[in-house]
Amino acid sequence: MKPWKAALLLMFLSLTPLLVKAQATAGVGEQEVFRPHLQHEVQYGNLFGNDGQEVQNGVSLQYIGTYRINPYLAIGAGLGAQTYRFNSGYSYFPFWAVFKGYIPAAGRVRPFGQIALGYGLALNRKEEDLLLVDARGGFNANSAVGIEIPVHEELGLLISLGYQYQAAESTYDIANWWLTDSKEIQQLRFRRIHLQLGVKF
Amino acid sequence: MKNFPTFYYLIGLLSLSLALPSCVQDSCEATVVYQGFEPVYAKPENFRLPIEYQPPRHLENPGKIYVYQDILLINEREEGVHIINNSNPSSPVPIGFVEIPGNVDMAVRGNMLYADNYVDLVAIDLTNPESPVFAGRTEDAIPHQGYDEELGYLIRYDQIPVTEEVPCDQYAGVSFRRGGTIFIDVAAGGGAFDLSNESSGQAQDVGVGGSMARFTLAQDHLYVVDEYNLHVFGLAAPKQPEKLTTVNVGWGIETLFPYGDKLFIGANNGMYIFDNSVPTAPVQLSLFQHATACDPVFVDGNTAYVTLRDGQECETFTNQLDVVDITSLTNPVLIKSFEMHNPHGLSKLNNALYICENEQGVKIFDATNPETIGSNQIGKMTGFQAYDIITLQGDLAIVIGEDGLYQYDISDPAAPRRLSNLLSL
Repeated sequence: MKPWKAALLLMFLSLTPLLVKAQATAGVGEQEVFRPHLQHEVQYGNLFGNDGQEVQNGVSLQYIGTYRINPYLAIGAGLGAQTYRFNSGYSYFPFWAVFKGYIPAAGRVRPFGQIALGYGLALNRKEEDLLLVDARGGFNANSAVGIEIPVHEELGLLISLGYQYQAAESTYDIANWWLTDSKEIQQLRFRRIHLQLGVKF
Repeated sequence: MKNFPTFYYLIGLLSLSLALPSCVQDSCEATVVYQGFEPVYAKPENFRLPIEYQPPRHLENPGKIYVYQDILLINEREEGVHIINNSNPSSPVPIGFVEIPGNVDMAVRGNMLYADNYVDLVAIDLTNPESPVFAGRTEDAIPHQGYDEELGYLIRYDQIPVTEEVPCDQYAGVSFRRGGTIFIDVAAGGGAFDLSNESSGQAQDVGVGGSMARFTLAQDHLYVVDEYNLHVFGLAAPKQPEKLTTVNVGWGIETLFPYGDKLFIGANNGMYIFDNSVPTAPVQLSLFQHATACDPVFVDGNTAYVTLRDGQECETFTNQLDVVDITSLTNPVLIKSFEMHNPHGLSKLNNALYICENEQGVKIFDATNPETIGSNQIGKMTGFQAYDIITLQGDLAIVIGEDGLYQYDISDPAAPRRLSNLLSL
């Protein structure tokens, strides 16, 4: 099994029993005050990894809108922008279906786990300087655990640590003596640690 | 609260998975798709055979054209020569096919057809066009690129599409990209010349070729150009031409056009003018330089017409017509350049200049004023791909291209009238 698949599966399996357990043991009083509602999150993040030769640090910006079904689960969708290397041609517009699970905690800080599955569109389709003639996106997924720190009413701060995966394809022209039509097609798999900070409202 | 440690367990679990190097390292699988050049060899025992005459066959991949009296010769690239009875241009009649492996060029003098047979020059007697007779062979007359004891003569390189799995950023071809930089392996460069690339010469008992020719007859001698040289053959023994001398010209030599006792040689970097008054010792008079391009030449009076075109083998992006004043043969002067689509062969009759414009057919220009030719298009021939053209007194234009042979009545250049066509398969 691929490492990213193993990581996702691990996360999912880890979250599921936790949520079930959390539901079963949550206090009755907490359920009584809960009202289903929409919630919005905007997060900025750093993507840490390497391309096999050097360390690569990218950035991300994303919005996620979820509907909090119950105290333990929210589902929704999100979109964002991510760059995996600071060369043109490696930036993507992902959009996902999002699942968030909340862990009951006695204090004000609320732990959560999150899985997002979707597709990342290539941002730069052509870049003459790099001889990039076509770029395509691919499967995009991330999983994360984090905490939500309430600030005021619905406003909260978010900190999360996760794993980010993006599949992509880039096609480059190759210059040669005879000006023949030569291309290099790269099938890319980006894997990153994703550290995010954001606000919930 | 008692579940809260599970959160830390999760973070630990995630951190552990992320700590595995492969989990945070990109993977990349690259496929390179490029045009490779595969050497093609010909064994002497496979082509040094008596030339065979066959019944007429369809045009499949027509190349150059040549007119000799009422006979029209059409090269079938690398395969031989179609013989057409063209006494009635409205109804040309194919009468046979001369199978000459490796043939791309030809010229006729005194009923003797001279054609390349890979590296050899063969002579075929056309006294009776309906029954040509193999007359002789001059071995190793045409320069080749190498000889291998087992494989034979290296005669050309064919382009083939190649797909290779390669490590990302480590393409081992003549160029590769790493970290956004393009590297070109200058040591990997290679040369390949193809006599099929590009043919007009006239005298009493010789025929007329197109402007894309590499063979021509002048001053009772046969002249052949290869990528770098001009070769002179004596025809004292018509059945077996003898190579008399070779003159180094330059690089990227493509076409040869005789005019009086001068030879005009089209090359990638310009038009060479040679004095040919001593046929066995052509002397370069000048070089009219232009942008790197493929460039057939046509000469009429004191004016030379040079078409420059782009394309893979031409190594450029230039498409234009250069009109050159050659009043002083030692100092040709550009009169004016005109932008074109993708000009190939050309010809001129009276005051009309005919230019093959690839898939756009043939464009016809009023050449009365050299300064305004390009902006004075007066007619066109369309609906086919045009490679080369021959115009003949009698107001006949013969055009060849991928789609076949087309003949036009050009008594009114502004309204050419199609007489006939022989279509390719």
